Amino acid sequence: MSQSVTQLTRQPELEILEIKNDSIIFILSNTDISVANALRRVMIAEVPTMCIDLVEFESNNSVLCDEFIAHRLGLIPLVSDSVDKFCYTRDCSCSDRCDQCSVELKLNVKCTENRPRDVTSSDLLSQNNSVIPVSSQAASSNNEQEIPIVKLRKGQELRLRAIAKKGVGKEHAKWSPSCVATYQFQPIIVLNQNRIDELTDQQKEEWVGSCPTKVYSYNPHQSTQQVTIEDPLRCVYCLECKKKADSFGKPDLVHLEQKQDKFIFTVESSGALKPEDIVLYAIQIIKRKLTDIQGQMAEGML
Amino acid sequence: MNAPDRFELFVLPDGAKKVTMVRDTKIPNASMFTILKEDHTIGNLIRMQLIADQDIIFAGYRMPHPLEHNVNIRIQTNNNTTPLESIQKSMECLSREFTSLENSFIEQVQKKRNVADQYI
Repeated sequence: MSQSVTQLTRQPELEILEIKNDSIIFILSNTDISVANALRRVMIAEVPTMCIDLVEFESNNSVLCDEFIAHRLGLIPLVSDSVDKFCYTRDCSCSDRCDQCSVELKLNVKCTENRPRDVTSSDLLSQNNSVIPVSSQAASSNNEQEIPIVKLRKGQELRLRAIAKKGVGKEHAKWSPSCVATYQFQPIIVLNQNRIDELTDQQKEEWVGSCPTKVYSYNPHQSTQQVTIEDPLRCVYCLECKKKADSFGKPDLVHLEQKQDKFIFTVESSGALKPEDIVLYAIQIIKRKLTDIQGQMAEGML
Repeated sequence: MNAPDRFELFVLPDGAKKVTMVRDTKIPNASMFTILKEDHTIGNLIRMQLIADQDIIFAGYRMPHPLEHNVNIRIQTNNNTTPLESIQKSMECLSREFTSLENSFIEQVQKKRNVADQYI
């Protein structure tokens, strides 16, 4: 008897722990690791953003050569919330490029003073208000966020036209919207308090200190004098605590385990897209891929 | 100079079929599916879903060459079904799974947004 589609479909569960301006943490459970990995791979390589792809130099007598500056410009993240409105240049009906598939940015800086002039991402002026360098966004415009491009001495000049296009991280990593996109298994750490009580205060401190990522905490001045788990998510499974426990002759002091069906995702955005949008677009892209293949299969088989 | 175009990684050439199926001549109920311009993302996803099906005797995927952006999925089934039927079933399962994932994600984000103080 064959299993039906409903029987075979998993019901994944999702819980968002935290959303910040540039990062999101959520738990995905009740699904397969291949789903988690597909999601991670797509978030890194297949969510489209806008990035500078072509640069035409009109004047450059700075110390950096044209190619060097062009490369630096490419790596500047641009606000890509309106990326859906653009099409890929290769799919566009225009012959070369047009407003539907590209955005032009201009940079025109000349140093006339005696001190060096920093050319930064905020000197890039976009012709489209929705595609601007992330550092020029109103909410976050402060000097610390500006990305330096080159320094000019007196008399030096940089004048160029940069063309931003839509692309995906598969083509070049500059189009990747995520700085970090990882998942980890949920760690399960169980302390054997009876064994811990057998240790001396010094041993307790030594054992807590053996963890390089500070999963455990122990305060000898506290009245309870207990060793506690501060943050299990910090655990990197180096098993240093296990080794330490072995050296004390107490191998059952701590029990470490990974829960392999709960995935804790951490996604950080480069600023190009909102972190929750990166995840949502990634899910939609996988869905589109699957329906695409499904359609082709139904159509052209046999 | 002779570098391949960067978009060769994901743009289907004109006239090419995204999915093709070749029946195995020696083994009954076995086929090899070739999906063009896809990688481990989709390959592994489909393979793991196929394995969950009890009617599947064998399911595996490979990328035949790192410079050719195709995946091969080989499937052998028992007599209850055929490789084509089973892969279509698996794709339907995955589609449904991602639809429900999308819905629950949108719902969760909405919930989180309503709790304004946590949204920094």
